[in-house]
Amino acid sequence: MNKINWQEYEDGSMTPEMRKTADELLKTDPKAQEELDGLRSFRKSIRKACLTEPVPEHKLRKILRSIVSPTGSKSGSRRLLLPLGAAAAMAAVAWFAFGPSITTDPNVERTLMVSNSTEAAAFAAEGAGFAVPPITLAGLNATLTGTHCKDGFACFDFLVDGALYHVTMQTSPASTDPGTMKRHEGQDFLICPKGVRWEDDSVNFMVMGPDEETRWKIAEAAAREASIV
Amino acid sequence: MIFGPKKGDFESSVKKELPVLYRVARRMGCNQDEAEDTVQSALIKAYQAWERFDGRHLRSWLIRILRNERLMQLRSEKPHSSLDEPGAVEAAEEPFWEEVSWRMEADRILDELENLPEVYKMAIQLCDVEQLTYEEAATAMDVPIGTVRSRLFRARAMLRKRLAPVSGQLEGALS
Repeated sequence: MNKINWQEYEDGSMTPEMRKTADELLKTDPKAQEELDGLRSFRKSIRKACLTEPVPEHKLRKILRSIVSPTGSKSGSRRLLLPLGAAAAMAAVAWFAFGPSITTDPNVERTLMVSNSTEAAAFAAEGAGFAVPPITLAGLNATLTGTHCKDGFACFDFLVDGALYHVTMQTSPASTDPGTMKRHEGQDFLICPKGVRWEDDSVNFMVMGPDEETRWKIAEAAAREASIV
Repeated sequence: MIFGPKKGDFESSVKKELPVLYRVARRMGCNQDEAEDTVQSALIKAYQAWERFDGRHLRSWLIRILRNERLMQLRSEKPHSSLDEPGAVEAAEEPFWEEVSWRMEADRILDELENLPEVYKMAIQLCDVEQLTYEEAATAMDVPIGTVRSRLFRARAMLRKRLAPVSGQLEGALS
């Protein structure tokens, strides 16, 4: 066994004297060449293996774009990408209210504070991957404060009479919580302890918030607006 | 003198580094969702600091931010978590590359790489996979160049040792 450090030979940190010795050895000792080839082959194998891992480049570019050019910049409405912690906190609110049977992953990919419903819908649709209707809750004392979304899931946050309510949409099946069915303007609603649910065009909607009566009013308005789109 | 980049350059400059950041995040123990989240929060920080960036070693600068973000995440989960040295082990002395012919399956290599201590994983990832220079890797890991070199040496030795038994060709080459 020779005493050449082939890593130093490869990275150029070897002293000139040592390098000369190594070069001589490579000419005369086949085993030295095998060692060097072994190191090179090893590095090549590692690199090749690591580069086989799939990278969601399209998703990452969307994230980058959302940071550099928030979609509301044209309208001048307030837009702010929340720090991850805040996004997670908002997601946690939705998760606890919705329950794990509906949304098992509380991580929300993107969160945006926005007051314009059309912009919110466009942002949410991009992240959710399905058509998200703009919802204004016309006729109610409601203010849109933000939206968050991930693949297959979108949520609008509204302040209604000073309290926070969520209108969520998802493409995965809703859980079968016990509740009361109610038919209103041709739409079936399920009123359950967690909120009000309904389905429209394969999207499962749910309204959550502190007051039962307000939840119903929100659901009624949201369902009407969503069905028009 | 090197001037900082313009704000408008951020997207075009950073775009090509996204795969690197994602792979490094994965190497720091993130699952796929966590890697995306970590990259996102690193990009937000980088964007905020872009005008203060001196324009040198963009990749290292981004990885350093990414590493800090990951560290903050780990600390919020486990207060004593660290990405630093697990022990005082440094470079082995003996050369060991004789009779090596690596024909490992990618999954096997990734599994074993995953099992290395964080600092060694990073050394391999940055130097061997992403092909950063020692100087760039040192900047990214916030350590001296000599430490990068010794960690890399050690990392390769550990990885080789772990992979050797399955190669069927390396028995006896580990002494």
